[in-house]
Amino acid sequence: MTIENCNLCGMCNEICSVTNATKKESTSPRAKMLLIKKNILDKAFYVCADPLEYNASCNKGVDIYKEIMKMRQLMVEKGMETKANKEMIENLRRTGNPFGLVMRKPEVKEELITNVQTQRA
Amino acid sequence: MIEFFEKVLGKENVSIDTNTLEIYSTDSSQILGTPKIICWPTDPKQIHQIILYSRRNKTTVSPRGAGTNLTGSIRSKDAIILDLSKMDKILDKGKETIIVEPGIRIGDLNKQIAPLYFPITPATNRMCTIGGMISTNASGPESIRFGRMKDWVQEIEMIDGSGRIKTLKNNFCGFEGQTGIIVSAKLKVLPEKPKYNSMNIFKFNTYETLIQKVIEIKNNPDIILLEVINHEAAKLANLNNTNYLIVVYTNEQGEIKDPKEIDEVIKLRNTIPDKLYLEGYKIEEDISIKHDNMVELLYWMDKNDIPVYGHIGIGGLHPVLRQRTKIKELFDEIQKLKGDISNEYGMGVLKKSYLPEPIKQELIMLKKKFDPFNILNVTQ
Repeated sequence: MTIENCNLCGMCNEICSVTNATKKESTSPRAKMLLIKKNILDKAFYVCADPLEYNASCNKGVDIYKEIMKMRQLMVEKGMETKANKEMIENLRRTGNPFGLVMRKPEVKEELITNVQTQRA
Repeated sequence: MIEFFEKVLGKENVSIDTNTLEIYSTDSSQILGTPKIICWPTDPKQIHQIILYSRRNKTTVSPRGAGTNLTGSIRSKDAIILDLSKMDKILDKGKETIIVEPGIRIGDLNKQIAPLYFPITPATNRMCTIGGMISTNASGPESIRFGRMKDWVQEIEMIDGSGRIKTLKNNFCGFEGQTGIIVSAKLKVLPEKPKYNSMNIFKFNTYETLIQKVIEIKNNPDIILLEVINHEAAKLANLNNTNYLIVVYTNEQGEIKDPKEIDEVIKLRNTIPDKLYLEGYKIEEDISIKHDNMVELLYWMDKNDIPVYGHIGIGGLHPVLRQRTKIKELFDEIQKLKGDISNEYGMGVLKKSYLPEPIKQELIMLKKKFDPFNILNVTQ
């Protein structure tokens, strides 16, 4: 179901872990739906721990996750993503890790391999 | 202006951000009105100071709970919005009564006080707040057993339009934030949640036989739920084309005793409004009418292609309409049959003009008494 079926009933607010912590409507999934309906890009689309959880709570069957992801994509296209988001994208391109950590191959000691081989034999 | 609010509430509890104002410009009722400033108070003293500020500066103040009202109860245009969600604590817990702040959600409340139980649980029970429920004198599907909020709230403490703290022991339910901002409420509670132990589902081809059955059983003290789904609503929800009466008992007198089956039927009943919504019936009304006049109204609704479901035990019905243009005809018919055009959702902006004269006079009197400067939840 698309955003047109959302009537802002607010049932998705109940399970939103971010709204439960902030106690502010402005961080709620319903607020995000309202912003989408009005075509407003806002950092609120990044104030979200798990957009997939909203879908289960929507009795109208609106794919809230997809709608939020569409808005995030638009924000990236317009260069409006958050600073943290920009850094993560850069890190991924540079190192393959969102936090910029360089992955090293694990060191395996010769004697361990010999032990395992002996056990198998 | 913002400096005053930041000083009173702290920077994190005030916003004049354009998008935040846009978010708070509406709620489930989809009535629009952009507010001036959003506040998240955490203490009654802060509310007191905000009220004094709005008196001095002639701005209006509107309280907000979960924003699940359907009638435009929150007058947000140019108002200072008090989002009371942060005032959600249980202040005192006894064996028979509890004292709570207004922003606590009914779902959270019942989790926190278990095994004690507060029995007024509207269909939006996971979400709606105690403050909002008192303001609309809410009821719910179990109203046949438990009545409405006014039967369960012993007293409230509120801050009126002059900034005075008042303790009220009666006549405070249903005023939709027009007389004061509720800061705490003393509620009666049950020792435990009543169980749905058995159920009957009756089917009727005519409304006469349906209402006859309702009148026959409605005084049975073991009934906790008495719900109707008429044939139009049933058809749209992919059920058989007949009028259903769902009766749930707290003892074993019903034929269906399997808890799973009972649970499934209740879940199915709760999906009816959404199924109707997806079929294009998007305007859900909320009326009440005496059983003697109900048959005539139900046939009138049939003629006008209006599906209906609701809490028939207390005469509360939810007709669901396709077009707003039909609302006036529906209300005229209800008033002709001496029914009420609002049962449990409140009057809000949408039904204001239909307020019965005695209630209007009472509200004017209370408004003069508690809000002489006319600043609480009004559009100026």
